Amino acid sequence: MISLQSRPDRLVIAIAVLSWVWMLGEAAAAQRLSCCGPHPTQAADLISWIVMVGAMMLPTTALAVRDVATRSFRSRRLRVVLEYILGYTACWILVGTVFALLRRYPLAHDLRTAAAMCLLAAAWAMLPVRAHWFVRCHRQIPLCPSGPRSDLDAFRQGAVHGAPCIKTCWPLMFACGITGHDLVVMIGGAVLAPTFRRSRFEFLGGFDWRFSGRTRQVSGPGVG
Amino acid sequence: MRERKDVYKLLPGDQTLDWYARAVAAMQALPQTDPMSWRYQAAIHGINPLPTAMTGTWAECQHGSSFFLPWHRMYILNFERIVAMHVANLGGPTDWALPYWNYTTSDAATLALPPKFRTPTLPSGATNPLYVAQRSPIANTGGPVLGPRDVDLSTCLTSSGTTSPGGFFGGPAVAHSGSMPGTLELTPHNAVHRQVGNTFGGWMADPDLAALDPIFWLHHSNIDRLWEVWLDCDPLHKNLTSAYWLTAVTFQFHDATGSLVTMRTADVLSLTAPMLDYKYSDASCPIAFSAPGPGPIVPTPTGPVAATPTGIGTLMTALPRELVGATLSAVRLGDKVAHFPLPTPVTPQAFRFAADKAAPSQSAMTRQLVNQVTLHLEQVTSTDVAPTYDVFLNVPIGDDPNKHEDRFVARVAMFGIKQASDPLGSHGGGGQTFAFDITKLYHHLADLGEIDPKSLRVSFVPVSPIGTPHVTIGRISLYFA
Repeated sequence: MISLQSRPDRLVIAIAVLSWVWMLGEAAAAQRLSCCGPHPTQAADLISWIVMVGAMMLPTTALAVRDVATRSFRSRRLRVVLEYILGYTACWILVGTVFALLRRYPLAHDLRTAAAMCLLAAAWAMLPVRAHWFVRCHRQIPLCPSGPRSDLDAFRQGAVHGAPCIKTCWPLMFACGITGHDLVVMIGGAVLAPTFRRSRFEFLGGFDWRFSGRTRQVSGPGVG
Repeated sequence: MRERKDVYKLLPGDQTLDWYARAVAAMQALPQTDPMSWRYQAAIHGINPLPTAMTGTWAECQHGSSFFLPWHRMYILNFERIVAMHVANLGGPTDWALPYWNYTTSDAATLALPPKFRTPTLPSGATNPLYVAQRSPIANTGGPVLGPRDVDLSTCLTSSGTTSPGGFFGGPAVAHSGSMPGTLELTPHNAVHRQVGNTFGGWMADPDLAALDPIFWLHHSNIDRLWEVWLDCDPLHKNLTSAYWLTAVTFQFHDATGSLVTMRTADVLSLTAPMLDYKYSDASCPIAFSAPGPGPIVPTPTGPVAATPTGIGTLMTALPRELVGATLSAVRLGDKVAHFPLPTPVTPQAFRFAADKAAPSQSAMTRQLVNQVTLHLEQVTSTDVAPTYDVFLNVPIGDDPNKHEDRFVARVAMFGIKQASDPLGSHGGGGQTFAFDITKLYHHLADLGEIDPKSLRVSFVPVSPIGTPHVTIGRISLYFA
């Protein structure tokens, strides 16, 4: 516990590792490449969705977890980190609930739909507004140091990060979900997603209020 | 090799500023679409609104991070070469170099705007291209537009070469670190910007307009020089070594031929590199700062390793510092002096006990318990342009903080805060965070018995506000390491 107080990001890494192990275990037990069967129940779909979020999205919050812990008293670090994770995950659970409901329809089981979602995810990455969402994924809010307000702020900080992350990544996550959380698609998405991002700086978590590090032609209409 | 000279030490008859003025006039005559034009070059720093087509090329200035210094070096380097090209085309010398405004000398006259920038017209009656009306009236009338607190180098030249709070370089520019200027960026950089542009619509105070003022470039030439001065001040002063800072991020500028050049921090660290090839007439450390200051009397630290956060490499390392106190809610500043209590429930004794897992001696002095003390103003937001406050620690209730120079923490000129606070802006509305290493002050007050281990008092004094500023500080906090 002391170690986690000093190194709270280990917690999200541990959750991510456990999530991958769980999914690999499920897939191996069923001798499939996905952890879900072809027609899982809505509850199973939602559970798999949450585990997928733990595997794919939580590792991206490691620096945020460090930040939240640093900005909290040592005695409250684990508590606020858990509240942060809860706030972040709650956003994704809401989306997962919608996804599980959509899975009533056969189209949401069709691999052609998954392929279309992959294409959408790639196109989504090119949207200029996505860069703005990405920046908001890293926005800090003031954290009250103690009392119930501290708990609320930590949860809010998680939600403040989670909501724009959903805007950024939902097509990719839907694509993974439609395949029944196919491990190949998930691993591919986890590896390729960063390369879709606007720049290497963003991949590394760029945050400054003016930053590009991009290579780009500078002439264009509408200037002057 | 080009030599950048002190604008206040140019010899009589020196034509450096005359050629600068002619080149500025030539650049101002070009359309903004021309990369060789004045307005194009200024827009690289900032412009509002930003034309969509120019996203990624204009409004690219780097503040609040360790890229502040290298980006601005690249920026003024390419600007200097473009001006030199214009100078040469106008029949001037081929080795023209950008002078610097050294306002940090013992000569009080240098606290005034250099004379050739003040007059609206030239002796010939023509418009003076170096004059800008959108400046503080004090600046354009030759008054001391800068004060000792604006140009104080005692903090930045003695600060450590880290991206940690209170470090020379500013925040590490990675996710969740917030926007945090380094000591040189805060003072004198921010303060000079604000004071020269301290009027309604003042250009220098606004990042979107600042580079339109010809004095901007001489100011940044001096900031670039002070980077070299800092390196000269102490053998321990070194540039950052992270690959991320050195090579991972690239920036683009136009060179004197109009071609795009891509530059990295690693390309601009040595002034003798072929791409740079310039020197300053004086980049030596002022003697007053060459001697290392007294550090805390602390035996070998036994607490957790204080790793310097440098981005993703920080994962899995121990947290570098510990929160020991913070305000329970946001505080607001206006045009009046304001005082705020800062509860510090974690005392120095409790901090050392938690760090060492062993009770320290009851007689241990604060400086033996705490290696570093940093005061943070977190998530500071405002819709005003560069509001500025002087910050003090533990000023007695009822006293005028300005009468307690020994409790002065820093002047905080919030250059760029309007842009950083815009929720629709590229910063996401997170605001700015300011951090000050107050170790010496804290230990000094503790030695005097004037630190209540359970609570501090932080005071803010507005500095010549224009109208009523509205500033919100998300949280005032104190950290030990």
